[in-house]
Amino acid sequence: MSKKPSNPNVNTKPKSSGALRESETSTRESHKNGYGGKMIEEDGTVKINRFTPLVFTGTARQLFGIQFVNILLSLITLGIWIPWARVRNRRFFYGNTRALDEGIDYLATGFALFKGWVLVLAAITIFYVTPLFADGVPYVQEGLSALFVLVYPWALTKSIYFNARNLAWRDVRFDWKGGYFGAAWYFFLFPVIAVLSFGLLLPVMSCKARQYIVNNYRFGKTSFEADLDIGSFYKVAVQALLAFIFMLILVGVFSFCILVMIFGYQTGDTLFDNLMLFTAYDLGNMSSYLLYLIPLLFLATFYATGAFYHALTRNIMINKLKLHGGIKFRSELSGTKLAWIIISNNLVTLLSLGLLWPWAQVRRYRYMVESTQLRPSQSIDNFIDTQSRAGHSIGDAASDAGGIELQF
Amino acid sequence: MQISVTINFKNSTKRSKGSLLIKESEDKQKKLYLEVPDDGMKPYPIKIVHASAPLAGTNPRLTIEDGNILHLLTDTIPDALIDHLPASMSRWQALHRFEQVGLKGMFVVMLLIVGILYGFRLSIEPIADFATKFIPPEYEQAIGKATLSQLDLFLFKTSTLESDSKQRIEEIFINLKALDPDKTVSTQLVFRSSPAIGPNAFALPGNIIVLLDEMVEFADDEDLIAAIMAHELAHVTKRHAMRYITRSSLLAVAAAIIFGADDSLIEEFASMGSGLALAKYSRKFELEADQQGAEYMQRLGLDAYKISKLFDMIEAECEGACDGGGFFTSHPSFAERRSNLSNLE
Repeated sequence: MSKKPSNPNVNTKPKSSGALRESETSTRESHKNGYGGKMIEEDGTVKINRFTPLVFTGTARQLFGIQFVNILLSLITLGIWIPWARVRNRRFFYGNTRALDEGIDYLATGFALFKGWVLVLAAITIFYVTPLFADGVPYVQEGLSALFVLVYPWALTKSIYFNARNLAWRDVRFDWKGGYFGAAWYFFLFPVIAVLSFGLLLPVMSCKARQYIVNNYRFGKTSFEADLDIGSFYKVAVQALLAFIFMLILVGVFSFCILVMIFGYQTGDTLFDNLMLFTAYDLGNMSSYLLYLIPLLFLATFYATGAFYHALTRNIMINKLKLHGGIKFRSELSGTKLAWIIISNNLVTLLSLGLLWPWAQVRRYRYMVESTQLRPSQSIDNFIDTQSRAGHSIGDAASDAGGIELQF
Repeated sequence: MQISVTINFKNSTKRSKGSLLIKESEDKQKKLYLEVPDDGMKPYPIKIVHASAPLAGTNPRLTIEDGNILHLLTDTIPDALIDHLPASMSRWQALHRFEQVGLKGMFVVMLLIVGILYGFRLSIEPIADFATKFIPPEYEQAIGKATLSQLDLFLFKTSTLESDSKQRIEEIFINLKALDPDKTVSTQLVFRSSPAIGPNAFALPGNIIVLLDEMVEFADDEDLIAAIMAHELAHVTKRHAMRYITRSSLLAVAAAIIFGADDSLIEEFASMGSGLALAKYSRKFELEADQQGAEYMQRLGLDAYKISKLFDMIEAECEGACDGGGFFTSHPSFAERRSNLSNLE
């Protein structure tokens, strides 16, 4: 990727076609002079009937400061700061994402997230503590597990709804209309079926799940729509599979070479023993450190395939995406480029002991955002918000506890 | 003083340019006015009821009384405006400035973080050991039984030792228990076999000691078996298994606090780091058990250094290729264990 982490005093130029504004707003200069820093140039007119890329104006340097302070405060407060930290983190990414020269406001408060966390923590505590007190009552643990499984789709629905309602562009909030059974089917039962089908139904699943999310999304009162074609998902899946097999062969051959180099004179059982006990093997020999490389290489293959598949299916979805009232979208992610970004990001993060993680995050996010374009076909001043409340954040914490993340 | 803003009209995507004016009114108080040129209206006084905390790169969002939204065009809120915002804003402004520290400041923050982490690391051992004292024995036994039944399912087979050799080992075990009767009263010895694991013995939580047939055959010496059991019994009297469990859970909680702030791959590194720390605790426990076991042996009138014969045998078995040790291993190297034993008086 050509974009290096920007120096805070240098402007990050948006891509040429979308020269909407030059907004390096967080220079230290602007900080010193109060508001007197560089003003954002107003363009005023939004280009109608032309694709304009989204622009990401955040820099790695800014995120570095935010995350450092977040970690410090989380440590000092023994973790209580985490919800607030998360809000600041998300606000940084959304707020710096400029669609037609306006950032996206993330409106959730740390306290709202905190309440959700407390609830989920209470639920987890009940789950683990009840069996200790309910000695002799049959099926306590199983009953609780079943209860949690039943509650989970509801929490997930709430989570998507909460996040949608807390995103606003030009003071119109997003909305999500999905319900309990839809979530249970598309996010729980269908994935299980897809796995049971040895992955054959996986493309159908990712197609249907994406379509379900998108078609229930609203911008204010206006609905999104994407008519996705299962065939194109299978095409992408076959491509991803072929790429995976190719990489697997490469990595396999390479690993074999490493093994022969280190254990060249051994065969069969002794080779296996040495692999199992390799920490015990003569570590004075530098080449034996290469052994650590093998699992990393296989991990990288999986990451790369995942990124490749994600990029291409996202393209399919975004390219079919329409917002009623005249906005079309386009996504031009390259599967190999996203895979490279993710692999190299992880490598850089690993080598820098986590220090360059903010840089890696900004780099990936910027690529995702700036590969996305939107085209309004009429005035965009006429979208209206609905009046419902944002609901509660229990889902946010619950989906977090379950490690499920939904994003576009 | 004039501050440029954009105004978004309540609940719609309609917007316009405007500016905030801070002017002194007749009674010498500074008041806030909004001017929207497109409206053709004169500047009118407004009150800001809510403001988003300033954050690098993002435009602060101000909600005014009538529900319309203003966005500033810079990410920093001008000091003159702070007085007209809700009171909490000055704290957020301070945080925002803190986040913009230069490289030197960043270095100081990093040192602070490392310092706190080191403090955490030092306090995990005493806090976990303290917490272990409050874990009820029934709970510990439940964990031990569950662990044993799991091992029985996957790794262990029933012991095929002859009953008289079992009996002799039991006798030694009873003699050992008598050395520290208070702490070992509920300790039980179970015999199992496991070709997959090979010669080994374990101390599980809940005062359960597992002796594998393979170990009995491998040692082939009653005194050596006594030394091995003394070592495992030392694990029991020092509550190593349970202390290890509390330490690892505390570490997991600490790691979640430190790296939970953002969702990331860093979690994987954290688990690797706690793996390292746990292996270190385990090695320390082994050395402790070696020493305590040697003391038990001495009090039984047996050779205190007997266990080192086992080290010799294992080393001979794998022809020097398995000296143990290393950052990720649960047991110290044999050299370290020998020198640890020779430090006994």
